[in-house]
Amino acid sequence: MSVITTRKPQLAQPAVRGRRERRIPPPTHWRRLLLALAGVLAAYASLHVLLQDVAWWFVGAGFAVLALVATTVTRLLTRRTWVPFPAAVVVTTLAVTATFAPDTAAFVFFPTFETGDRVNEILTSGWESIADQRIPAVADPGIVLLLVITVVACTLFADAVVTVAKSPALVAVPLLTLLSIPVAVRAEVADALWFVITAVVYLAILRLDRRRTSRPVLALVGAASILGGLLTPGFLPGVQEDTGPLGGGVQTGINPLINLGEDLRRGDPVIALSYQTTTDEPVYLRLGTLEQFNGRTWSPTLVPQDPEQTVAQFPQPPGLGYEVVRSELTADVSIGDIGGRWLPLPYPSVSVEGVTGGWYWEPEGLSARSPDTAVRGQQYTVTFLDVQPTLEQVGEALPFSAQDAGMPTTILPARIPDVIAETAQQIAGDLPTSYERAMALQDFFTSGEFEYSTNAPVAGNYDGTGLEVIARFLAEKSGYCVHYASAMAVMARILGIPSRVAVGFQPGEPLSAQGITNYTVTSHDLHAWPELYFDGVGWLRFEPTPGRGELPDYNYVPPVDDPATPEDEGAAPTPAATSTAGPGAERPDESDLGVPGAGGAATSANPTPFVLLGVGVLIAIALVAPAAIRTVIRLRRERSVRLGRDPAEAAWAELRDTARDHGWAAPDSETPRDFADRLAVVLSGERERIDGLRGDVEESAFAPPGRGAPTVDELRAVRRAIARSVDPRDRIRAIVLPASLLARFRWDPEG
Amino acid sequence: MARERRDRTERRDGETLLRKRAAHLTRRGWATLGIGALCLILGYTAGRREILVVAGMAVLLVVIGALIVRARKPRFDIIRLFSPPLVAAGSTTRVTVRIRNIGSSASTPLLWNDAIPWDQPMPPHELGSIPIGSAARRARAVDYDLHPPRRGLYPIGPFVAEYEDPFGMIGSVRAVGEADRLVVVPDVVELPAGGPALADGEGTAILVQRRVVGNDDDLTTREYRPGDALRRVHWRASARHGELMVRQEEHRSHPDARILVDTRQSGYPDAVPDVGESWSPAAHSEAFEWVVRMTASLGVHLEACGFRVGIEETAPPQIEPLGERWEGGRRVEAFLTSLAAVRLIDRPHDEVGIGTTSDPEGPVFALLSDPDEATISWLLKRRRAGQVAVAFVLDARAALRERLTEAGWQVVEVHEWIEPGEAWRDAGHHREVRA
Repeated sequence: MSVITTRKPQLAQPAVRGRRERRIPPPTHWRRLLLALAGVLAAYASLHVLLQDVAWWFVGAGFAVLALVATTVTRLLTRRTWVPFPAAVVVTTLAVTATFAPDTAAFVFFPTFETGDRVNEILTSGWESIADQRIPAVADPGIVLLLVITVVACTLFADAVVTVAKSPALVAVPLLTLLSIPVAVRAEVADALWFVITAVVYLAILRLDRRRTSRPVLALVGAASILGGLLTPGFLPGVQEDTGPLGGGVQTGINPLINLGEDLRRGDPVIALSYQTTTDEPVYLRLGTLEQFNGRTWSPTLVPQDPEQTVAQFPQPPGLGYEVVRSELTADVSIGDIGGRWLPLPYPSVSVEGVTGGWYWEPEGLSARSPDTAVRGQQYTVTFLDVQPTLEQVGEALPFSAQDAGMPTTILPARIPDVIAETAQQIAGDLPTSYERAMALQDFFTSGEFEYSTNAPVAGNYDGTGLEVIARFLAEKSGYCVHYASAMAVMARILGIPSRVAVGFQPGEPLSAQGITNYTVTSHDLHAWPELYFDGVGWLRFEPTPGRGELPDYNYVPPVDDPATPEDEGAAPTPAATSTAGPGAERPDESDLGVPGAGGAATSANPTPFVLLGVGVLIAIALVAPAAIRTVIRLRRERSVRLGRDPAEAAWAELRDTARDHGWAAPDSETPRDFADRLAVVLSGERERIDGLRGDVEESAFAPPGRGAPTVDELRAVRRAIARSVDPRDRIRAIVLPASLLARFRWDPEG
Repeated sequence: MARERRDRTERRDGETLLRKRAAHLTRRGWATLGIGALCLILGYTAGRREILVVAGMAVLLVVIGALIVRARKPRFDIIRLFSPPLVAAGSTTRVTVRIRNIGSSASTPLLWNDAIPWDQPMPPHELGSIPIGSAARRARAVDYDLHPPRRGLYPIGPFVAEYEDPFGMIGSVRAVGEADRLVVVPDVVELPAGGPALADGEGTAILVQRRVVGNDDDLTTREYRPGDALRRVHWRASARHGELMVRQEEHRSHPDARILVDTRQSGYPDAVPDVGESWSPAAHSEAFEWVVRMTASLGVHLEACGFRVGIEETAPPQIEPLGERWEGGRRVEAFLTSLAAVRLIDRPHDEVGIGTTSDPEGPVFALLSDPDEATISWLLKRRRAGQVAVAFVLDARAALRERLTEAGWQVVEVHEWIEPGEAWRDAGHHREVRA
């Protein structure tokens, strides 16, 4: 390429100056604003994966429109660019007052100090609600108010960049802000549909103030970038998924329980981990424990991690008396596709070796967590205790009286539905010891009255862990591990036994080979269970969920005194998935624990086939494309011939290209006569037709206009003749990879 | 951007500069790419595949934009026509740019302008998509006005196209085609009547005038002037005219007039290196520009008066002579075109006036500023005794003036801001004063 040098360029500055006035058609102010609003509202709609119903969207959209109307009207009244924004804020404030706290306002609209307190209260409740609720959450006033504030801020920002800053591309900022909310809350929930809609609107915004351009090119670029974006994760190395919310802080918890129920209902099983252990007994691996119950949800007690508390050395298990017989066991654990930052460990662990990164135990539950390392792919050896208390030891523990212990494991919310307390008292209120009460509770759930179902709670709209949910669950007698665990833990507290909920994996599938038993734990085995505290023994695991997991050996009455005898049922673990629910009904999903597939669209549960399909389609398109382009060119030329627009030229060009496709050389410098002679030597049978065409070309070039019009049939006949002149392989190649396309798009030295 | 800054500096220095920025990221493109990179990093650190979708889309927007810009570069055949083809400095010519799309697809809409060597604001024009198809469909003609400020040969062009991808991520500035030469001739002023008396300056004009009166006798007679020999009186004609007429045996219809131009750089103390607008940069001198302007006006004027005008230069000759009459309008064209290109020559050791004829006859006009000794002595030899010799001297030194006057030259002192017409009138005025 030659470098062209001249002096004194004229272009650089004036080019920018002249551009604004010369747009056709000039986008009106309204069009800009409506596009920006549409973008914000589409991005806002992407939150639907987090929230139930749609009312919140309409409320947010209403406020956004209101703010926009306020800025627009103000803009009509004043020329100052900044005035509309305070005006919009004022209008929004009045509307918020009237909507959320009308009783505290003066004349409905005007906020008072009381209004401030009230709004603050609503906001606080909103944050708490976000922290507590599972997805999809109920959009209570607190959440809606937070959303309204977010959406109005985004709308005003969009307005500012479109009308004041005049750089519509910056609308990306509010759009990305809104789109990132579902992504930040949880992996794998974001909705591709609304992302695509938002992206399309954004591209339309990018087109504001642009020169008119060819529509197909525009559509091609837009579609390619959006589709390419959706396929991107499939082509990039896998992301170490972190399932928890991003930047949500402690309040939303790194709470494995919140979405466990939903995950049990979705997806395909993936191998979460596998382990070998020195005992015959299968092992429950816990991720974490949830001690705090606020009436709505269980959450872990998270304290700042002490760098001294590494998993290399665990402390004594709380409450475990010295006289209780125990034996040290080890397990080699190898983690598969689990995300998150909780280390699956048996309880009580003594030490962990081989783990990479910084892992620290929690003083409450002796579960292990890492602030910076993901659990995926870890391999480690854990030493843990097999605690074998005797019935006497367990039975000595007595229920605590009323509210004597202020520990989080005994605290109950103030208002407990009567049915729960009554049921608890009815089952075990008369029994003297903690152990008997606990056993009575467990028997109550496992006696056959309750059935295991992951779908019933959803169908009956009582999914979750709150008190109301437990009350419904006791009536419906159908639920899954979360309900059983939560209900038993709450009832244990009512009965004076400290309790907590543990979340982790049930033992999994044993596979014996050459004397070594290897347990494979899949995402099917996600589980939650209650742990109850007994003085002198510590925390003991119970299994109220019918048909799931392993009943701990101390649960049998009469208990065996000899601690050396392990329970004999353990060798036959119940296959979880087939026990009580229909096939596929209770498949736990990987996403809560971050067991991802290879990639793909955001909502695709198992995206590998999707990616393969996408790649396949792309390859197919690439294969078909040359033939398709060539066909389009041919059809256009035939159309020219038919309509009489330079028919001879079009026909001749088509003829030459056909010859090129079939391996002929057809240089541009050759005259039609030379070329025709060359063709005729090979296609002797078609001499007349070729000469006829050639004559038409010459006539159209040199005779008055209107002369020399070949027909499509003539052209086709010659084309067929050319195709017949080569062998079939070349004929196919001429169709699939037409050489004339290369000549068409050849390097142009001029440029 | 660094590149733009360099462009500006170069522009100030008047140096050459690279006009071809094949493709560059716009501000929007940079921002989008930045967001893409940020999302890529964020996606991995935060462990969210969804963020990679945004990253992919942002990066693809830029990458596909670059491909589109590359694929849609304009392939044009550019032809410029100037109307009029020769333009005088300070007047206007209309440039018609004929653009033909020689690519294989419709061109992308773009902004264009021509690179103009002088400082003339030229707002970029929009050029819509040019389709392919028949020759008529492929062609487009656009035009604009040029106002060349100074004489010279100028490159107009190349055609500079600026376009972007559909979403404005990648911009491209491309020079298409070659530059065309525009000849800007010096402004020719009609010299007013009342210049120096050119007694010998009759020629065709007079002959033609007489012929209109219509008598064979008139063809070869003229009025008596003091000094004509009595034997040449044409009595019959005198009787008809009522005054003494003489036979015009010596036809002086094409008397010679000469213009001596000092084109040596040493003769112009105000010569400075050229600002580099013109095709062939050389030393620039305002005094010399005046000389060229005067040469053009004087040459055309004398030619119109019927003289055969010879141009003599002190440096090797550059100025085309005014051609013969049968050449028609072209004779002036060649002369003016050569004047458009004439420049000062800096060769102090050459002999003065190489290639000039040593047949000094007819009125002599000298145009100079501050010649050196060699030039002066050459100049003085150019006047034959008794002939009109006028020297237009710019900012003349007193010594030079005296010397020329002594040698019989009429010295007209001029300055750059004096119009040639005015100087011409001054020359006539001087004569009368002297007379």
